[in-house]
Amino acid sequence: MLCAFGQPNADQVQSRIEGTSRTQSSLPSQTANSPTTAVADTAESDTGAQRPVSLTDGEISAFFGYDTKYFYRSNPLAQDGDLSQVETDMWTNTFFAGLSSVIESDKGVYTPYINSAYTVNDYLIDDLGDFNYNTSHISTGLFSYYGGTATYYAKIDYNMDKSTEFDTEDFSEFFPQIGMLTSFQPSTNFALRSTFGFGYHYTKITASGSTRPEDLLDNFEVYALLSPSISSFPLLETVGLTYRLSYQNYDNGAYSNREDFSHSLISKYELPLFESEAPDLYLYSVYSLRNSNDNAFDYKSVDAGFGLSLMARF
Amino acid sequence: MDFFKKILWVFISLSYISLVFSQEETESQESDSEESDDTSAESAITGSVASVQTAPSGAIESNPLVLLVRSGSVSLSDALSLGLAGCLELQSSLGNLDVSDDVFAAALAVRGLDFYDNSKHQTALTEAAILANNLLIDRSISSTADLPSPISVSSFNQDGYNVAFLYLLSKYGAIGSSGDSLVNTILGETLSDSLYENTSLLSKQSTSNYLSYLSTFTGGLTFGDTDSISSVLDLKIENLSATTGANITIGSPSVESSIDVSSILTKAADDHRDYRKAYSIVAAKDMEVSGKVTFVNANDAEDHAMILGAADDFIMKDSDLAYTGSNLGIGAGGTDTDSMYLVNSKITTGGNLAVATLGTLNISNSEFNVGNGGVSSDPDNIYLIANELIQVNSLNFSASRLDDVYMEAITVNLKDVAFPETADVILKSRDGTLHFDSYNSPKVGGVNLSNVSHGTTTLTSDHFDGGVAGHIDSTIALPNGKAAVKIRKQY
Repeated sequence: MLCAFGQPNADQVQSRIEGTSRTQSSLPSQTANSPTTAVADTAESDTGAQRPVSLTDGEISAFFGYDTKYFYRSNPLAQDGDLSQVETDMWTNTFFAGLSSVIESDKGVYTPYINSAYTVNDYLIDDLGDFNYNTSHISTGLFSYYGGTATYYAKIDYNMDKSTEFDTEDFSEFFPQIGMLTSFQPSTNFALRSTFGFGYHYTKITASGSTRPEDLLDNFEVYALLSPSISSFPLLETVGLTYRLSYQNYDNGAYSNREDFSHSLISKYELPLFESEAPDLYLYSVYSLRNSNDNAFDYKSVDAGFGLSLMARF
Repeated sequence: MDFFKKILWVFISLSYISLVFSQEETESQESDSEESDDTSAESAITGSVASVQTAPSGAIESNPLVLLVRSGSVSLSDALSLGLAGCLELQSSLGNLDVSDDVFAAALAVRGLDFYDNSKHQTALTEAAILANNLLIDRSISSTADLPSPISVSSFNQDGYNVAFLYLLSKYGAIGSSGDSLVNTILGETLSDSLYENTSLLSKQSTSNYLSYLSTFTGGLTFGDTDSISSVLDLKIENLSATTGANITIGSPSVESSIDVSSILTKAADDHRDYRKAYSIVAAKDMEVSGKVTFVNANDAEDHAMILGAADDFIMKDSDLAYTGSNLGIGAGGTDTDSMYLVNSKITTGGNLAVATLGTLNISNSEFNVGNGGVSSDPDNIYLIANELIQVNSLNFSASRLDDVYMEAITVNLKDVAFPETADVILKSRDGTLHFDSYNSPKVGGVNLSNVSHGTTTLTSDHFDGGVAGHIDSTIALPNGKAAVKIRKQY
């Protein structure tokens, strides 16, 4: 029996790796909507070793689905100053699909994957109608597990934002990154699931003069996600509390000296609607804060709302 | 109502989809019960493509209107009012040119004018933005070589869209808070015109033609009937020239700078007002003077004026500014209490000195030395004018060949000021009342004197005739028998 925080002993892990029952683990997740963010949904595996992905008999897992969110956003244009500026409600609709497999060898278990998503983002106040956009997201990479408590990953994300109103491709990026998923359990009462990663955002926007080149938003990013669990305080895990910290260093144009520290506190409370676990209603909130060496880029914002996910797997 | 329709639509759609998916899930469970245990892991995988957002999207981070607001060039509410569509069109028309955020914001504001028609005026606005971007750059001037060739009305005597340029200057803030109405009153809604072709401008060949607009510019302050017909205010437009910039710094702290303007303000060909010249160094934002700065001009005849002006704030601190020519003017268009500061500074001119602001004139620990140009010339004058307040703490004119001193503001508040015995002083305030030892709590609308002397006499109420407000004269008289200090009220 695995402990409450999912940390197996070495034998258990090895048994899992070599076992015929290919049970699941988790992949780190990236926010489809944000090129600069990597929010891991480090759902704990039954092994705790975070071994990636379950398989069908064909050794290929596939999924597709739909996610919709309705939420309040306090500062949609990410401006410095008050927490609430041009506050709005938003509605996003995401269609997604993906494939993954598992390759086992004597040295470890490797899980290549590819997934994609298309999101329609609508601001629901008239003043921001021109800002509506659609996001395309593709992610591909490999997860590697060699035993112990860590799973390593290398992947490339592609994100592209296209204006709904003007039909212009306003932003695109490739974000290659490597990272590690692991867990810490300093005491029987406390554990911490975590993701550490870094990568470089290769971006493209519409250029406008030498101070605003098309790679203005290029940046190197280091990020960490921490999800604590306290056995005597189960509510913490129930609300899915995650803290995200990132450091970004920009290189180009007017942003050549820009450095940002960003903090986010995320909570997500799931309310399964059906017998299956896949379609579920959830409530969530995000408090985000950016602290830049140039105050013009500081901002803070709150999202709060609910969503519904539907998914089919093969 | 739309919102509720959307929500209803979502839930109906989701109910249908979830029904389908539930059936599919059941079939899947039947075929492979082992997979049902894997659902949470699948959720983790799919979470990567539909997870919550924790940072602004690329669409927001790259949005030109958002970037413009972050640059401080336009407020968020104004930006939303001006609109993203206009912003994108303007960005497209400017292409990959290096246009500063402030000029871009001003151009966007011109697009927001009621009479702007993109199909007619886009080219004019684009050209105006390019011109403004060339002229309105930050400058640091500490030598003659730092002075670019001045522009004048002849610079615009070509095909061009200079009316749009003036509107853009107004939106930039270079013509004061009443700039829009001023430009509109003079030029009308003629964005596509060039100055050379504008019939209204062509009919106005002299500065005196613009005096009627002065109150629009200042918000009320203007010349009286007598002064307004003075030939002193009649200067040919073609004889005006200027060096422009956004923020302009003149000199450097603790450094001596010499800037020669002899080739610009040359001696007049004839002693007639049609030959007088004025040259301005004008900042569309702020101007700061520091260190020892000398503007050199071998021509010390009173046939010209050298002007240092800022559309917003003028600051002079720990500085020694000298003009070896004749007349010097200093101006600030800001309307705030910090629009003009002259601190621990000395100003020396060969001729007259005029200092004016649309806000508050703050002077402390300073010295004015005028009338030292032409050896055989008449003594010269000092004019200090502010829309709101003249606040002086320690000012002397000890080395001056001084004739008239004229100060005008809603409130005049003077402390430790020493007028030489030759000075004919007029102090004009809104109400024309006189108060003593009230520096720390000045009477608004009045003239407040604290330890102010004329010659060897420290002025008290005993030295005035007790006349009615707006007509109070000192009992100390000049050699010609007239009162040495006169308290008057504004028109």
